[in-house]
Amino acid sequence: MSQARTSRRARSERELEELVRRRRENLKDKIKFAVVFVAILVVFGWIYTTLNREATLGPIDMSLWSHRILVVCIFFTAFYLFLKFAYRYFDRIFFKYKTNTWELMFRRFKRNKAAVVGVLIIITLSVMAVFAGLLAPYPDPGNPRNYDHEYALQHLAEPPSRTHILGTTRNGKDMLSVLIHGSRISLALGLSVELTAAFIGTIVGSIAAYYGGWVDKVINVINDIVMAFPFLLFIIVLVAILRDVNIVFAVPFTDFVLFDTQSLVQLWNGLALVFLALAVLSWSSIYRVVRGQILSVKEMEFVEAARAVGAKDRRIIIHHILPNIISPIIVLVTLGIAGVILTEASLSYLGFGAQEGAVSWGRAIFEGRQYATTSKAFLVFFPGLAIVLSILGFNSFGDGLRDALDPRMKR
Amino acid sequence: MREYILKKIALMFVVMFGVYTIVFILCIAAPGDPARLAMGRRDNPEARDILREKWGLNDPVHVQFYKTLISIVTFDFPTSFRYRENVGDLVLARLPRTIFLGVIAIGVSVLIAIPAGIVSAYRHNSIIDNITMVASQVGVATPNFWLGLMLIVVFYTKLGMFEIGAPDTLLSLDGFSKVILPAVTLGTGMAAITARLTRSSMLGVIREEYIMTARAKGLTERVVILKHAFRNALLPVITVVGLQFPLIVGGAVITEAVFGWHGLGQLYISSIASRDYPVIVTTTLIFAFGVVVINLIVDLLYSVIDPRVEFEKVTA
Repeated sequence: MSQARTSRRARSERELEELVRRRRENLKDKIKFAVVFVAILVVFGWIYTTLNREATLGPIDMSLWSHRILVVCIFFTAFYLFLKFAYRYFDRIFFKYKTNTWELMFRRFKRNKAAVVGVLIIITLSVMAVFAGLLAPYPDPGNPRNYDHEYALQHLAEPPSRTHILGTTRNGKDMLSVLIHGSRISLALGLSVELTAAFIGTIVGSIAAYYGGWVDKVINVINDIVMAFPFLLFIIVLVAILRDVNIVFAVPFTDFVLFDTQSLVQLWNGLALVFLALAVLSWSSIYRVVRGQILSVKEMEFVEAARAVGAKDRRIIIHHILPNIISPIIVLVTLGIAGVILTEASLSYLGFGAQEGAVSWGRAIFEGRQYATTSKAFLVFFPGLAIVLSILGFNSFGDGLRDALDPRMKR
Repeated sequence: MREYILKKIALMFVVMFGVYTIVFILCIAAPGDPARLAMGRRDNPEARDILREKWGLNDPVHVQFYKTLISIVTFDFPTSFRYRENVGDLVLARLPRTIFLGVIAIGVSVLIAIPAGIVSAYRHNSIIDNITMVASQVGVATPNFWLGLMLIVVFYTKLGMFEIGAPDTLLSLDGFSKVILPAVTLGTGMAAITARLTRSSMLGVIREEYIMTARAKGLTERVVILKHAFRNALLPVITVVGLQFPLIVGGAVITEAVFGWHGLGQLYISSIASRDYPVIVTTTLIFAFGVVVINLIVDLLYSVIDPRVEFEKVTA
């Protein structure tokens, strides 16, 4: 079947050979990938089942063993399929005229080892976040019902051991479970903040650049003010103030309360507030890039052509301009996620982020910081390592993406 | 050129006024009565009202807005709610420490970053280059406070090498032994970004034709790299480092908190908890002023480093 398809596509004998060779290499790559992946799975599963079996699982339970691997495999397959279809979809939409642009990008990206490592880190993080309950050796430490006082009192701030691979926190929770469950907060916060910021930044940037004039000037001055305000200080003030104020959003003339800010504060142990503050403030970098790109794109002939056939402004912006500037936005969002993870950790460290009871990496460092000068520095070390690794992952992925999407934009 | 500078300075004042307005609104909108917080356990309504009257909190909002603005513009600062001191004195006592920390940190970062960037661009794709780039990626990814804590663990607890805490006098042995760890903490992040930028900008410049010309003239490699290439590569580096300044301020706040360095950042953090509006407003304005001034200086530095820029701006 594949041979027939290939031969139909090839125009000459030589080309056919080339195509078959490429296909074979492609297959080889896939097999290599599968072998590495299965090896990682086996090692991962082995570590889990041997190190923790007395503590949590009892004797090795084959059904659970296979269960875990199966779940990860299903997730991975889903991810792969998603990528494949996303690839096809984007290919059809953005690159109708040049079929191999997306492929070229992918090939350039694969050559960048740092970026591939970044992708692996991000995939690991996502798996950790989605299957935290399955992967963590102990049940969700964020749920007070899982907190065993008797057990915790005997295991306060223990150094790493066989039962607790990364030790326990100062409250006697298993550090590895805290870190695995904490990845949820980091990822969720990073994604939601950056998507919101991209949404706001793109809209405001398009309006400013496309219409120009006084609209552009006013938005620019606002942006200047936001930029001059040291980012972290602004967020600290916002969080400190929003934490105590209660604004009630209710349906007019009724007693029906939509939501009030205090319940928002309680949501996610104070992290909803961090989300709000970050989302309001972090659109500025995306805004600047979108504005600059649109300013250069809108003078091109195809925009004029679209206007000439009578397209409306909104259609020109969404269908003609945005597809041309999507790649810097994607890159900025990826890099921005790293920034959000960092900011969340910093805020939590200063006591303005995640509050008591939250399972987050920054909070873990905050709780362990008074032990930093004692022999229990591991309380601070491991959560910090998790933060460093994930930021490293997103940063190198973003950089690789930038290089692959647009080779001219090289750092 | 002069017109351009004047325009920039005018915009600077608009921005400062905007920052002031935002901080002021945030402070007014914040619940929690500073007078009650200041009274503590001895709280009673009459005394609280006297305090509020004294601090001008009973005035209408626009009067407060106007009064605070005037007092800051004329350098006749209000009294801090928490410390019962003039905010000007309070800030003046802290400001030198923060500036000292910042300057040493920038010095550390430039000393590491510029040579590293030049060498890794000159030896492109060599082992040195790869090591530098990996190190800078890790440096960017490391949170300030975590690096600070780890430095404390290694150098202070384990090796007992440096001291930590707030120094009494800055330009002394005490000051320097205490500033090293915070300065390295603060400088590493900056150094990582600067090194990468220097490298990429140098890589772009080294391929230019005038570098070939300089080599063909028979200049030594050192002169070619340092004088011809580096000077031209500096422009984008300075731009981005200037734009990074707000992040550096944030980093300084965190670093001060980690090391107990009694600077402006720590004053800021502690005054938020006690709703010390005069201090919050003044400190924020100082930070914002720093950012705006640095941006202006960066703008002006362009024409010093690259004389062509001036010409372009006048014609534009």
